[in-house]
Amino acid sequence: MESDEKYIRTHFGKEQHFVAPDGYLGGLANSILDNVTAMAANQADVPTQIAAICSGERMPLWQRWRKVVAVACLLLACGGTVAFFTMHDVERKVSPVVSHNSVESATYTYDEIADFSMLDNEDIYSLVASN
Amino acid sequence: MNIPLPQPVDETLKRRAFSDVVSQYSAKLYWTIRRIVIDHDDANDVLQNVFVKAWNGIGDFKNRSKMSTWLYRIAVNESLDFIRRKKDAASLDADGNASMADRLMADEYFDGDHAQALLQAAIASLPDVQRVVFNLRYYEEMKYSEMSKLLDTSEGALKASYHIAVKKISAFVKQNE
Repeated sequence: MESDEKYIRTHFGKEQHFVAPDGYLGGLANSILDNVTAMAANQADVPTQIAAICSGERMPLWQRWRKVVAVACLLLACGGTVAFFTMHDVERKVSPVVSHNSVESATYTYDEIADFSMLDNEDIYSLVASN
Repeated sequence: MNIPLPQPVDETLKRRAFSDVVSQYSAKLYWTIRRIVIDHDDANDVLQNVFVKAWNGIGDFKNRSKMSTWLYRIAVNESLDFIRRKKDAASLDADGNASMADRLMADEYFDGDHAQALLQAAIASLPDVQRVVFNLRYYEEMKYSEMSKLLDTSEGALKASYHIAVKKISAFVKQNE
């Protein structure tokens, strides 16, 4: 790389060959400020809070977060209420269903056993053949 | 309750501070941008955009970096965005770059000879970020540590990029001499 960079430096140097128009650099700062001022003036009609955001100035921290906290509290309250009533209903509904099913399934099992035990071999063979 | 900002006082101070920033950095930034975008009118447009963005974002500048680094970063990003938008055949292939050299020779705001124009065409043939790295290192002699903050790239990657750029430029000018 040294030889390549040396070649470039030797052949071309580091002199600047771009040129600015006469007077451009002298009036550059003013033209930039005029442009920025004109842009800022266009923003003057914007409401105070939006203009503050655009210009980079910030609202106080508590103002920025006030609405977020309010929405979060509301969501928490709604969610908690829904959860409470949903769980309460589930408890009421689950227990009878479970106990009812348990009684029913117990009865069904005994019936099956009773039925099955009364079948003789002839009956079983005919059942199997028909299936 | 919205507390109104003390705008007249803050605004005056802001303008005064910004005016100092413009006076101090506008010329330097112009040349940095100019070397990237080549054309004077394009450089002027990009520079104006840079300071508009700086004005809008100056409230976010929290002194985590130097003011110069912050401004240079905006300038480099705006320049890169510009050249990406304005990709033309002259920056894509060797023939195009040779004609770019001819265009530079015809440009009233370029006072170099054919060799210098060829060098600029070679630089313009580099990938965008590599072009920026070369310009910042070769012409502005920027330290890799500063460039690293500016381009958010490791120093190692920047050194490698510069090394490759030098090889490519050297090959280009030798081929087209």
